[in-house]
Amino acid sequence: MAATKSPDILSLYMDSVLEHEKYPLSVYKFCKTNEIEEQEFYKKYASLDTIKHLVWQVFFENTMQVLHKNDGYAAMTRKDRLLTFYFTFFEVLLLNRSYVLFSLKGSESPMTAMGQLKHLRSSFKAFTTELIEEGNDDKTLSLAKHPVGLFSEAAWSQLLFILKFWLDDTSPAFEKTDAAIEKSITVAFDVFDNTQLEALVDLGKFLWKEKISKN
Amino acid sequence: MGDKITNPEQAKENFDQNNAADIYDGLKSLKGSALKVAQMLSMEKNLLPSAYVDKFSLAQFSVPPLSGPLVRKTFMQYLGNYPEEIFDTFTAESVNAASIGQVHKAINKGKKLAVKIQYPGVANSISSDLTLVKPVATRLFNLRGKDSEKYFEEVEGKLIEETNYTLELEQSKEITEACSMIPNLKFPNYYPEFSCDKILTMDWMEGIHLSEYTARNNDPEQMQQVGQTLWDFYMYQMHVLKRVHADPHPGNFLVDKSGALVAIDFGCIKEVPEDFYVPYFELAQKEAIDDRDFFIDKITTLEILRPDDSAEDSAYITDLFHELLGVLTFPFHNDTFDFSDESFWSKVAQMSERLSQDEQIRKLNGNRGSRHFLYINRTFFGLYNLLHDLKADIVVNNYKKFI
Repeated sequence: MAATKSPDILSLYMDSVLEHEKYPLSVYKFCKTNEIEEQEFYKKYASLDTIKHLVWQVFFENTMQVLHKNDGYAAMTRKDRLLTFYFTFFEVLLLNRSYVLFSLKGSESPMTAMGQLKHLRSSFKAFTTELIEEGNDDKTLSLAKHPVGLFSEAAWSQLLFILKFWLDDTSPAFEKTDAAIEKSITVAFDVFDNTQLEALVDLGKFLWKEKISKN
Repeated sequence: MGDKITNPEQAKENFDQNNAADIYDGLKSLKGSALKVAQMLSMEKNLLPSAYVDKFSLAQFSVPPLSGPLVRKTFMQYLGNYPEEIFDTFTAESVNAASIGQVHKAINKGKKLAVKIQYPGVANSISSDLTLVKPVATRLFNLRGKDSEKYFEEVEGKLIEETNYTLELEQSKEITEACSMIPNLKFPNYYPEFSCDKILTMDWMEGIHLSEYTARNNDPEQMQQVGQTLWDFYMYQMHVLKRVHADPHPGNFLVDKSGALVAIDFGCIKEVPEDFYVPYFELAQKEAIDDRDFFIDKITTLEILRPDDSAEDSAYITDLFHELLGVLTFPFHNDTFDFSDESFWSKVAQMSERLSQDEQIRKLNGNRGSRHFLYINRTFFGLYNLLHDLKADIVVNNYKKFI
């Protein structure tokens, strides 16, 4: 997929990663091989890592563009908007599956690989924050309102979970990912209008701190 | 708990048996009309695991409703466009649940359509779900011998076929065309341009479901006509096409205002192979019941008698099936048969009652009978039931007019 912003360098970067099955190490060599002026490169990007992070941001932006092209989107329920986001996002990823597989399961350790998702994380959290605040607006009782930070973090964990599911999915046309999206979003919204998720996330955080991070 | 410490093997055995007992009780609670009971009992007593087919029909894989975005995605993925682009109107809310998906109403060029959409991943989960029930079913039906796999293969194969809407469309078209000359029988048109493996588009058919029709109808003459049409449709498929709509469930038929029978849902089509067809219907003749040697020969061909049965078992099974088939094939013995005849149904009920008390049947190896029995018997059981509800007095060989 051609990226919308500076398609050339971004696409060249992705091609280079796939062709060589490793990340380019120096801007100098990357530019030389691809016949780009180094100056040109630095005008747009501070480093190769910047591009690596931006790729995900572009996936997100492309998804949002497609979403807003759909006339019915604005009128959808919050749940349907999130579902539409997911289905569209994974369609975008599907077009770049080789790159995604390499970048998340290829050379780096999972923890390092997660680093490249930081822009995506903040964009996605901003997107879900809107949805959550909209949901809160419907509630008059302040007690029933959801802490936005906590819930957008939970939404992000869900995206990571589905991303992992998709990476490992071997079903034809990744139809199991579709089922996973459908089911997990339904569950999320079922508990979203409840306080259970808060308790669940709270428990999760507690266990994380007590068990996993101490090991 | 004690079991576990002293004897883990035994504990597992008990656990399996308890499980089997639970499922067994669950199956028993499915009882319906007299024939359903007969069907259940023939299964319970290990004659043929035909109820297995019903128990593990697609209805068991029921799925939650698909969200609007997933419906749109499925359309985009398989038909390359969104439903509201393809049709003039498309109702976002589904109007009906299908066994493994749902039905939406659409309008295209003024024509009302029914669009069936399948939940993702169902076809894939069938095999793994069946693997789970296999050990229980094997024990429940007392299936012995390596080739008992054949029953599971048969069921699995059919279930997987039912998830393939492209195949369903082909089958529907074939049967629809082949049966077009049967009067008072209607089929929807199918639209391949709006269909694929996961989406099936056909005409929206007006009418009420057969079960509702039989419950409320007070026009006996029209009901007769519907009954005869249904019978002719099945006999024509069975004897002429040798492929049959193997799910005669009241939900798969409608009756429209003019009293015509409308057949929908051709997901489950059973081929009737010649080497099964011939002995099966030879057994339905009155002469077969009267001539014991002939009878034994046929039930041996149909694998009801096993070469490894003891002489005692063999004689027992022969008597048993002689009686069973004597009753169940009775509708074929004369020129006409009245399915509202309560003496026939009470015979069926009595026989079932007696079989249910018979200890010996349960000990027999349940692995007997050709694999084709499963769906063909299910078809006849379903058909008999529908005709009973319709109180139909049918002309048995009326279908020959259409050849």
